[in-house]
Amino acid sequence: MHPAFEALGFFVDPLGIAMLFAGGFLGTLFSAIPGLTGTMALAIILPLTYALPKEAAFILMVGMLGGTLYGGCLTAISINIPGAPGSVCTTLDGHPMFKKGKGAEAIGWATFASFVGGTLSGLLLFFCAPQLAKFAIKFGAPEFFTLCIFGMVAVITLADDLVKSFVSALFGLLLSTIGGDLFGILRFTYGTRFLLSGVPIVPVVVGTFAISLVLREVNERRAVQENAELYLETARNYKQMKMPPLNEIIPRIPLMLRCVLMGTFIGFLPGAGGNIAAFVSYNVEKKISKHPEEFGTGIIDGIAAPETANNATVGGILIPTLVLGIPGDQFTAVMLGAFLIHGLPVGPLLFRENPVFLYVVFWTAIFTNVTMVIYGILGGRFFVKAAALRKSILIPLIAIVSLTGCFAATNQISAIGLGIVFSIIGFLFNRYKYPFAPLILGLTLGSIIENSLLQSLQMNQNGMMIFLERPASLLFVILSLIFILTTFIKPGDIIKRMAEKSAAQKRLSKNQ
Amino acid sequence: MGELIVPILAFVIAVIFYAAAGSLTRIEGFPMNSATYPQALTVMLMICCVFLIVRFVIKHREYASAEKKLIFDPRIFLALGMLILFYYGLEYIGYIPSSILFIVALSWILKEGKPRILDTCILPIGLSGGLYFIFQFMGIYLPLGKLFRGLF
Repeated sequence: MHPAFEALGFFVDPLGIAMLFAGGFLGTLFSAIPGLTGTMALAIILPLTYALPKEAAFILMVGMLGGTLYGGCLTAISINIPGAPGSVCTTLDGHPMFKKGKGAEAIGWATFASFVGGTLSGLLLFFCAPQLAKFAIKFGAPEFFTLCIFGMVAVITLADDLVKSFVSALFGLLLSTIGGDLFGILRFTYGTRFLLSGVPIVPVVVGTFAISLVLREVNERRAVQENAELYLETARNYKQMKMPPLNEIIPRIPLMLRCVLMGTFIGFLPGAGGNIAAFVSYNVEKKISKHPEEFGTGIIDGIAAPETANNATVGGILIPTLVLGIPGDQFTAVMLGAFLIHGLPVGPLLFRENPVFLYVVFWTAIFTNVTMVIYGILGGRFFVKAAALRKSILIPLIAIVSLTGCFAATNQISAIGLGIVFSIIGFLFNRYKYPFAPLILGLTLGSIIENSLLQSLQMNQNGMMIFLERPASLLFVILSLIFILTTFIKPGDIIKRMAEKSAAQKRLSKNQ
Repeated sequence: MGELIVPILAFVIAVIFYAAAGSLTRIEGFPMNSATYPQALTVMLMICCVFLIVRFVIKHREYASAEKKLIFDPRIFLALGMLILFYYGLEYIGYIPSSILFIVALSWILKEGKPRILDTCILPIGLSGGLYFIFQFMGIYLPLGKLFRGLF
């Protein structure tokens, strides 16, 4: 039986169905509450997935990814406060439409567009990823090394401050050297049994993303959720969403298809997530519209375009994450850590060794969109109301689940201590703007980088030249250099400056 | 000055790791040994930290104006202390009592206005008890603590 059909079996299993709905629910909930993020939700839930089979664990996590892209639109439309960055653009037309008394239609369109975007990009993932994997599966140690370096470069260059990002990555890579190495020598364990097999990733992820939130919230003294009254008032008057009628959908099929392609492509690029996809597609649709002046006044196209593109990033983000082991954002960087926790290889080997598992992930990326529609219909009011939850309830809840999760992941109290240490690091990183993703990725890929470097050097007498002698490896070296160069020389800025210069010259010649 | 916390800490960690790597056993006949990779990383980390420190010294006026907005609330140390107490509490009084105390204390720090019965009673007892049994159902046994171990 083809692995794709075998994978479908997990979705008729009660556990698989429960995880799919739980993932969609948690993702939607966390993205509906301003201040909380999908990555935070993933960090909290990660230790709990230990007790689950790997397929069920990833149905939960990928389901969550879909939910995190959708939930933000509920508060973006109804209250004009986007719960997640990807929904910022939806406020432009969503909230004006809500104010016109068409809130039910606006949320209906956002839900339907999210469903279309997510489902079609999930299908693209389903068909494109295995093709790309056929090429990636032939990789040897030099390709793995340069690929991991490219992945690190891609994540490091996402940040505004390159040096701080590099410090974060180096710190993660250094942490990955703790424990037994390839030669069987114990490094930096200082006699601690807890660190013999390396730094466990769960306390690091939970500490930096979730427990550090406690310190941040205490520091910022926000006991009552901002705008709580507004949320509660909106929830009281919340009307059941209306799914769009066929006569509204059919003329917008080309728009949604364009946005799916834009969203998937932008999602594929490291760092360019739902937020950028939403704004790019909104601007493109505005430019090609026959009535661009109507954008921003509360029209359907202004909701359909950003929401389709935002949710279409799921497929794009997952392609490099699954096929190459290069995460596109913080969420997928943490998700790569989950691969290690469940004993799965990162990158191309995943396709060779676990094809059924991968099709489970692909199907989840498609099926999670169904849960979004169900939650949109049944739970819209609940999610808006949840956004008003008091911090004095929410923060202790997150704190205790996270701390317990640290213990559950390793069955050792020391893991909680490690989680607390990383909560301080997370707090300092957040405060002084050091990105978290390079640290997590460094810890995840560190041992692969070291092992593949050693194997590559053993393969060739010419030392580092091996990375330039093999085509795929050379490609990753070139891509890494391009990524580094584009952080110093931004093509967008050059084009903008040239356009400004030519416009100034035109004005000058007109005046003359 | 707060901007210097991370680079100084990272520099100290890098020095410790570099020194510790120097004492690792070296295996001959390989292009790399156990110390090569961590030492290369620590050197890069040290260079980056020095860069950040020098950059701070050069641009300290810019940082100083930005840092005025970043004030540490003293309650953060209280929250940190509670996290540490929870950690030690687990070993001695076990999961349920220490988590109840932790939730009550954290809700109290975050509270605004009068303490509510939900925050001080229902939430701590319900949450810690609920989590304890959920994890037990999943086959994960949370610590009972030295004090109560003999009772169960």
